[in-house]
Amino acid sequence: MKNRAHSLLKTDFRRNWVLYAMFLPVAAYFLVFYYAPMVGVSIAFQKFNMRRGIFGSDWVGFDNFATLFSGDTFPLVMRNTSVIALLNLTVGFVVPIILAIVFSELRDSAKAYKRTVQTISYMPFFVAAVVTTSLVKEFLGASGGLTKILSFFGLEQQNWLANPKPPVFWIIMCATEIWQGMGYGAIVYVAAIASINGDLFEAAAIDGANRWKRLWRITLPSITPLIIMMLTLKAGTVLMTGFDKALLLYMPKTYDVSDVLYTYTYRMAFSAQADYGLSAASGLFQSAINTTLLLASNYISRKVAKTSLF
Amino acid sequence: MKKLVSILLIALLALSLAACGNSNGANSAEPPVQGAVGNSDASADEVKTEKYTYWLYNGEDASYYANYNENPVIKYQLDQVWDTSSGKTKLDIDFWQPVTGSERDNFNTLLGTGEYADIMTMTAYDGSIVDLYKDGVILDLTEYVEKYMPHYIEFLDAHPDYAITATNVVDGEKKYLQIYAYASRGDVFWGYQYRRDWLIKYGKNPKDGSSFSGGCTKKTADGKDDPESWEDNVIFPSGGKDPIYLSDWEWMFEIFQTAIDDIGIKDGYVLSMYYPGYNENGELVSAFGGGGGHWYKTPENQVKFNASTENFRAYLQCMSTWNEKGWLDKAFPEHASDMFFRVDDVKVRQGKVGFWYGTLGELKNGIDLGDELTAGSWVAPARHPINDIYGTDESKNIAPYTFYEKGLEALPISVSDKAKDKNLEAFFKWMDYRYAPETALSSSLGFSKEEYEMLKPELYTREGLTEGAYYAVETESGTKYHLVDKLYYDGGTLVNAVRGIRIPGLDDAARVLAAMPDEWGVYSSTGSFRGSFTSQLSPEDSETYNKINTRVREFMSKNVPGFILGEKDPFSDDDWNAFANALGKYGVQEATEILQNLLDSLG
Repeated sequence: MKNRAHSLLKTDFRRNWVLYAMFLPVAAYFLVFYYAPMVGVSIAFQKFNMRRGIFGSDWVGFDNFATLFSGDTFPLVMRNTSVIALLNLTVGFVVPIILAIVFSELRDSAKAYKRTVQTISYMPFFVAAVVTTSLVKEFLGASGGLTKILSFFGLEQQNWLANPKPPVFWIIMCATEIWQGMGYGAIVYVAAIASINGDLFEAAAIDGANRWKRLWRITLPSITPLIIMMLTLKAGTVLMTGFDKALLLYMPKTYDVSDVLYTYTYRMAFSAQADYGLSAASGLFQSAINTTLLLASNYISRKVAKTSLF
Repeated sequence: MKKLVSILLIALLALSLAACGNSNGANSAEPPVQGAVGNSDASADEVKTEKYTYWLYNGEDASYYANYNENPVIKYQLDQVWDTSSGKTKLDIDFWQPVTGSERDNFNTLLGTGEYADIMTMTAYDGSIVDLYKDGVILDLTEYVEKYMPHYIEFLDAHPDYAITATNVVDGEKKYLQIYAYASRGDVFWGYQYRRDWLIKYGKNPKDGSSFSGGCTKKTADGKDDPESWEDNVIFPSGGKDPIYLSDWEWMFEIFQTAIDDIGIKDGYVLSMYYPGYNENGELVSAFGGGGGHWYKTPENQVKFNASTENFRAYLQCMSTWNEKGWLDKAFPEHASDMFFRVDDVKVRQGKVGFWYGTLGELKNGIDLGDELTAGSWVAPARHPINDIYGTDESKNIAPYTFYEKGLEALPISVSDKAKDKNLEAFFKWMDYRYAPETALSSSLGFSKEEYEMLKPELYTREGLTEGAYYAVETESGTKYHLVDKLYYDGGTLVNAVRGIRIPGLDDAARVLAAMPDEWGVYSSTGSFRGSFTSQLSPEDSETYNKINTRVREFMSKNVPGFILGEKDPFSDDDWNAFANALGKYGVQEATEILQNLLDSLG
């Protein structure tokens, strides 16, 4: 059996050696940049000393994890991280789909308008986080444009970013993510909707289905596998999104609502003497959660929607 | 034709590259300048060049030069030739300068990857120096210092308190692991300041209720008010011409509030505040009879942690009261990215603030832009105050002794193992040259007119400094030096770029006419710990202390603003005890013991 497999592989290699050769750089890329650095995971279990390196530093078992979890503010940090992640995974995930559907529902005569709006909507994706946060600060500062609009509607004029009450910072973070990512995120859905067989819509229209029914009965079911795939992928990275913006937008006054795992680790590990062990422990912890979320999401979608990524 | 064009282009490219090469080597191509130590007679063929790399914590504005070896003073010094046991040697130093804001990241990356420089400014290093030495990263400099740096040793002999921390104890033996820059006087360039013109306009003499008067009494050659000629008859409640006690401050604040209301400044306020609600250095906190917010040493050499004491509580009670009276900037926690000496700078310069902690440049008519809010403004310096109102007797009438003060020591450097096979004799002779009183002046002040005329440095010519960077003034205490006006009133980039201050040496400040107003130098900061003190901690103690300090700082920055802004009550025992007890859980006692043990061991 083993010999047969070996022989098959050999034959396949001889026949498709060009393809194997083309795959080599890709494999090398993944090995060098993704698998080799995994050795660094051991730093999470060490009192890491940069000069002694991974193989020379002292092992401390789970001490770094204990330090991470025993921080007074760790529960708050986890709450903030989870809430912001949940908002991104729900509201932040749905908005690009809605936008794509809206684009696809535009009449053919509005092609120029559609293209213009689509271009404008995905431009923010290419704006650096530091610029995005500067804009947010300008708009939501004590005398910012959005603040003035909000105060027109009866809300107190204030620097919204300095508001330490629970939902405010989370909403700002989620809205910023949506503003920046919805246009770019919609591209893949717009393409998927465009590839649905037009005959289906035509037949449904002849049978008397209105736009709303066509949306629910044809459009959404057709792109469901894609939605599930995207949701599964997003679940695997949801804890990692928005760190840069949180770091640039938060301040000590709002730590209770704005401090997320990344910012907390950053301060604990690097504000005085660099603590790489603690930083690596936090990274590993987040990776473990992300992997769990990814597997759970995949499992649930396989069970419920009968489709999954793997 | 194409071939011809190609050949021409290649030739052009080759010429350009050759030109670049010449430009880089410009330093060595120039003849050596006459120097106090260098051998100017040495012909180029008998002089060796020793190359070093040098990691700077910060350099100068890139608009002046790209590499610090182009700094006119440093360039002059690098042109010198040093007599060493292996012959005449010149130094060729490539300075590595990190991007502003990422100094520590850059330093840690270089250290971690082993790609660090021969010489490193250690300002970015928070760990244990001894640890670094034991790991073989830095060299023991004792032999070099003792053999080639007589002026450095001379300075330490004259300043025994600094000599104590100039060395580190390694396995019971004292070793020079770092070289420090030292100053002969610790001037500061920032401090408390206030709108004295508002006092004149809106205040009344606290004794007889009469109005104040004052202003500039002379004009400059171009017809403007001479900022040096200000005179007024302002008297404070304590009886003097300057504020001394918090009661003087509060008297002032009431006047400032009147001014703000009268002028109609809607987004102005009386007093700016550093974002955590206190200054870790001790400014204002120390007015209440102790140190800053964190650890300090008493005059009896006792290490104490201040934030859980009644002194700090009195501070919070005072701030809370000021907030209730509407004097504080309520948005202070939002200015988290402002430096402590430049809080809400825009508003200060717009003339919307009465009292702030600022720099020399704002004093006198420094914020006068001629507009509605700043025209005729006059900013005066104020000393650190003494509390005479809040808390118990232990918090009152004690002269402050913990605050930021430009240390006499700075910029420690270490030499790494990368340079162990290089001729370090020449390097240390150069270092010592920078501590010699007769040659240190050009490093700390720049070139005099005579030196400029002899050397004609391009930067000086370009910036119009044809009279040199400073001039001599005869005073009662002998000859003193004064920066030329263009540098004296400079915002900080040019004045640094024309001097050679980023490398250790003797900052001969005592020979310079003080720019610091007397009010900022009334008290001495004896309660603060210098960097060289904490660098004496053992690796384990250093790690413990840093961890505790980080967590305390985090806790304080989250909780202190609440006490000031009225979310918690510093007058309430419950709120106060909860705060003080929480601080205890972070290990402040352990850190106190670590520092006390070190202080005791250093005698």
